[in-house]
Amino acid sequence: MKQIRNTLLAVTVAVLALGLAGCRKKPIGLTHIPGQKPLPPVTDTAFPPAGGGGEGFAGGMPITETSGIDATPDGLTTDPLDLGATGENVTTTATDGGTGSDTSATDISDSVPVVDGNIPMDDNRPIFDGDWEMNTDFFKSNTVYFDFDRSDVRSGERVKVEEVGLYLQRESRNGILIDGHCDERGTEEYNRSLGERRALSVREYLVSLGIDPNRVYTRSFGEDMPAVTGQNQAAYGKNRRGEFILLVPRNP
Amino acid sequence: MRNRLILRLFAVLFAMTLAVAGTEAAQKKIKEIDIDVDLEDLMMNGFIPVSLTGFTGETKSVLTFDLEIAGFNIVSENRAAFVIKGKNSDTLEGRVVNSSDKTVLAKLYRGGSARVQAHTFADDIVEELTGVKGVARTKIVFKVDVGGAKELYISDYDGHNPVKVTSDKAIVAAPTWVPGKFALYYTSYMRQNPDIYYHDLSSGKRQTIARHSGLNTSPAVSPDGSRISMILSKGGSPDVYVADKNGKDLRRLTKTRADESSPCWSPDGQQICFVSRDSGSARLYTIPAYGGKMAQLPTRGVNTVTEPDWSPDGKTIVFTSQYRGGFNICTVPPRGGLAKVIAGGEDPSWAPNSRTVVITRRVRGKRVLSLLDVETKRVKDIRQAFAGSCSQASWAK
Repeated sequence: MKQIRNTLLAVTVAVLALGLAGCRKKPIGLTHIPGQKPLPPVTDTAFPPAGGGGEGFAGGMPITETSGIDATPDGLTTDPLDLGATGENVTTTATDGGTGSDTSATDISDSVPVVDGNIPMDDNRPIFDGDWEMNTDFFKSNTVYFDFDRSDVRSGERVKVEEVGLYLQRESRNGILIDGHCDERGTEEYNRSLGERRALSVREYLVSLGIDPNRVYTRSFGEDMPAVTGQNQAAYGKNRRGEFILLVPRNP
Repeated sequence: MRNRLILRLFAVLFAMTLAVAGTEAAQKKIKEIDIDVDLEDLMMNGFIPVSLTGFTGETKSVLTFDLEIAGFNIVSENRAAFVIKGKNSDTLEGRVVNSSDKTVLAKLYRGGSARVQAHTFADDIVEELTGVKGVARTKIVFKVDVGGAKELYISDYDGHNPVKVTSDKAIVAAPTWVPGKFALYYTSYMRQNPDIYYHDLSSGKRQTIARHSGLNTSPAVSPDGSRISMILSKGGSPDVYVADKNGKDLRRLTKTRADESSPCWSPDGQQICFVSRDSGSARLYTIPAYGGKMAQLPTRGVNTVTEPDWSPDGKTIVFTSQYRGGFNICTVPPRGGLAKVIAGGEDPSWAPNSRTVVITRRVRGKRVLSLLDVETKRVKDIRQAFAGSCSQASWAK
């Protein structure tokens, strides 16, 4: 009964407000389409309990030094890296049908010790907007840039990821969020997926360096958040990127 | 779908054959050939020539827009296959007369606004002359760049009467209508992550459908409204998933390492068409909606193809192809084949008539929405009510 009523209501609403072509109307005395009115305000329901403020992008939060290690990225580059087989002279074998061949790029799947390159993301991890403070400035100089329509981390960009990896090895309570972005030359949802694939490639590389995958989050903005505007190669190159956002627990 | 004019032309051709034989019936038909001088022309360019007289102001402009995007050409009366005449004040009086001086439609429209009266008359004309229901009183939803944030608006199909849907002060994207309902699914970043929501527009109630780690985007509703398909990356790569309408009973359909995007449903709900870069570049694929093997859908002649949308009548998949410097709207049969380039633009969404699509075009650095009549390849911009870019339109069905 209730279902019938709900169905009736839905149908009525659809006819009244939308004027969908589904119903043949008598043309005389036409009154079935009201003028446009503002929609009722949004009431959000069925959200899981809020884990915190959720404002995010709280730049400039303090870094808590726990082990006496210089927490600035500049201090990290001179440390010896324990990164396994990531040398530039590794012979590439195409294990990934999705990236094709490119003379200037080395497929990072060579150095990722996983079977198919997909590292599942744990749904039960703390949600990063609630339980973490987000610092967008900390790894600003580590932004990774990508080739056009490619999602593999270029060999020349790897050192930036390695710096982040070393930091995360030392600051074991902190997490990292990788934002994937695209230039505007693709279509929108294609780019949203491509941006995520880029962020995931960076994540896979971090995991190959020994970082716990559950500390590494990804987020894609597609082409919605360009770093610079403009329709030229320079602008496009700056927009195809992966940005690191440092995540620090709110309640250490 | 075949409109009566075409059928009549065949009848006329048949009559001509008979005329050679010199029968009496054929003599009658020959009169019609003399009158319909434009029929051959009509076959060549696909337009139905009509004249439009007696209407003024908004009524005239609405009728012109509605008829032109439905495949009609407004011509002078002596060249018209149908004469559309009438007058408008508080009411609209409309008449359609065919080339044999027979009135095929005569109605008086009262109430509503002048726009609604004109849209209704246009829909009646379209249905009377083509046999397919008009779409002039349908709605679209789309994304608007409001200066940093992107919010959703709905409007009439011609861009008039826009109404704000979201005020998330975040990126909101990839909206899609629930068939037959005043409700949407879409992606919002309002809680920092791209998550999928269901939004009942009549009550304002919104519920979270997919908020998994990583990407949750590109919701697509099955034709019966009971299931959704979407792109999630919780498995480590952007893959196609299906779930019930509440996001439960989640099932992963693709397991590639490459990125998938833009799923859409076949009208029978059995297949999902989507984009994958599994082969190295973007191609269309289909996969059974209850699981199975993904199969490439050939689109010969075009490369880098994205954003498929399956027509409600099941006959055509419309999609975007990318070339150096821009995008084209293309069509291909559901089994694949030679792609047909229709017009410049991207992100097509079918109208319920399986003939018109709403598309995005990039014009001088800004994105605008246009309607495209696939049969005649005519493009008409909808009303531009926003300073910022509009994109990702979805047509209510």
